[in-house]
Amino acid sequence: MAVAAVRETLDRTPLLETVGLRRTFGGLVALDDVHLRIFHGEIRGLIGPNGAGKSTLAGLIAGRHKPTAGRILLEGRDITRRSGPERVLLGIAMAFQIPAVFGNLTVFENVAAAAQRVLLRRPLDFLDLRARRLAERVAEVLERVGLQDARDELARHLPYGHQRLVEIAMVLALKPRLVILDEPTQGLAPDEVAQLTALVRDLSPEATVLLIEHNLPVVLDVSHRVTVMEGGRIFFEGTPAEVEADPGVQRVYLGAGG
Amino acid sequence: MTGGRALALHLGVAAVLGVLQFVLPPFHHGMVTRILFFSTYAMAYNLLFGYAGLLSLGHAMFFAAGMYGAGLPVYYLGMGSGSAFLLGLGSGLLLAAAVGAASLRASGSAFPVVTMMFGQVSYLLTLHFNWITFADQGLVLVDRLLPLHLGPWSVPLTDPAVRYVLAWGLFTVVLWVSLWIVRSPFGRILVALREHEERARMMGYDPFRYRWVAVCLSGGVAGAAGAAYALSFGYVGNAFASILYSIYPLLWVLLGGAGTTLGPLVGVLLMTYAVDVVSGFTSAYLVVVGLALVLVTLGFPQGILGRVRARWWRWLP
Repeated sequence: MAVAAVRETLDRTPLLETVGLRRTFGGLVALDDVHLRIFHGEIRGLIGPNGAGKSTLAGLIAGRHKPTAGRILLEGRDITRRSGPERVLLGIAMAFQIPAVFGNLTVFENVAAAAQRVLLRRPLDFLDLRARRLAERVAEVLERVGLQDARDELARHLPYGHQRLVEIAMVLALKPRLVILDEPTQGLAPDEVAQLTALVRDLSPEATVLLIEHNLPVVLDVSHRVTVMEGGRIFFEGTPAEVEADPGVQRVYLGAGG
Repeated sequence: MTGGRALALHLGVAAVLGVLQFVLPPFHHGMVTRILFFSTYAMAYNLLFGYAGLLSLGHAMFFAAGMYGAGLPVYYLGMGSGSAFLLGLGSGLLLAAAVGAASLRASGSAFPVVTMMFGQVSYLLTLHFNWITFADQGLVLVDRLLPLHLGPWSVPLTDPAVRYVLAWGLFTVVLWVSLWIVRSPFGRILVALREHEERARMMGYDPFRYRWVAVCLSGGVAGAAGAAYALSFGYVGNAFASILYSIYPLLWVLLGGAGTTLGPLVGVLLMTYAVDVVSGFTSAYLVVVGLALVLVTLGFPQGILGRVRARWWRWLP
């Protein structure tokens, strides 16, 4: 089983590690002393009530914000000072909580903007890139998320669920090693949730996934391990079965109103 | 293939403008010459405003940098026109590199304000150094300008026929360059940053770096337009550094269609002729033109070619 494979890697260097991560906004401590280790190929669920610091943690890992204190390591290498764009090139890519697409561009152009990032190596590539290779790569990713028929639509004309898929396609087109998904099933219809769950499951073990999700059945179904946060701290970590059985987790969730 | 259609359209437009010089009566010949120079300037503006989504309110400084960069060495040092042109282009580029670095550092919405400030400083400098620039009287280059030597031919730049060819040549080159850029990966990055900065940033594109390159390109092309204008009309005046010439390109591009390669030409063409027609009736022609522009932008917020693209020609670059 995949869990066993993950167990095996536990003593190796994690793909991503945060050490004593802290982030404050003014006087508010959003995140405090967070030690998180995510291993190669695993799907890691991240749950917790609103305001637990999940999105803040994701933003710090992706490089959207700077931590107040602490370090972030990618395969043992300190990337705390690397900017967001630099981290993308190192293999960390993130889909936002509110889908962010380039509304006035076609679905193809949206995904091409991401796909070209990994093809741009020499300065001259910025002026002229082999169009065929780019188109193939885009087609491949669109097929994977099931949007091949929407290729020439303007992104802003797509329904909400499809915009989400466009953003996930953009993330995949970056060929990331660590994919961060911030509440990907939010606002989706049940059949779309099922499609997305299958998609996420499919990402591993090629890529590693950090999945922030409110939909508990989805997280417990798809994750190898689950980290539970509360009040800016990591509160529990274990397999989906352990999370389900833990009375503390139950209390946090029930206490938060569901 | 859509790329083929766009290419054919641009080739056709360039060809028609090239042929026009042989059929236009003298008055319109001169009008179109001016239109071609200003369209080149407008294309420079459009690259930044239409594609990169950056609103500059001080672009006249780049056009004027090109004018003075080319005109001063001709006037004072008797420099040849070829080198003077390159010097003008370089002046626009260098000024843009400096102004871009400073104004893009300022956060987000400050860009228009900071560029306007630099634009005004540049204008005031042309007044301050009155003893060099002769400010609004300007410098007349005509009798100091050496003809351009092309092999066995010597070409007087200020001859109307030569002037048209220069204007058309520069226009065509810049049209091609901008068509190339907006369809390149670099152009895609600029548009992505315009559409959603944070998404593009978290896609691995550092906003400052790519926008700075766009400012440099735009400033360089604006400088080239200013240099060519100064050399072929044999005149350098600081009116071209005034705020009016920072606002004109914005209006031209809005009218013709921001973010379309041919929009600048359409905008300049319509507005230049509109000013000409209206100024025949009233001296307050700018008021009339301004009102017309307000109506057009309310009716067609995407500009003329933006509208055409949305309604009919989706392939229009």
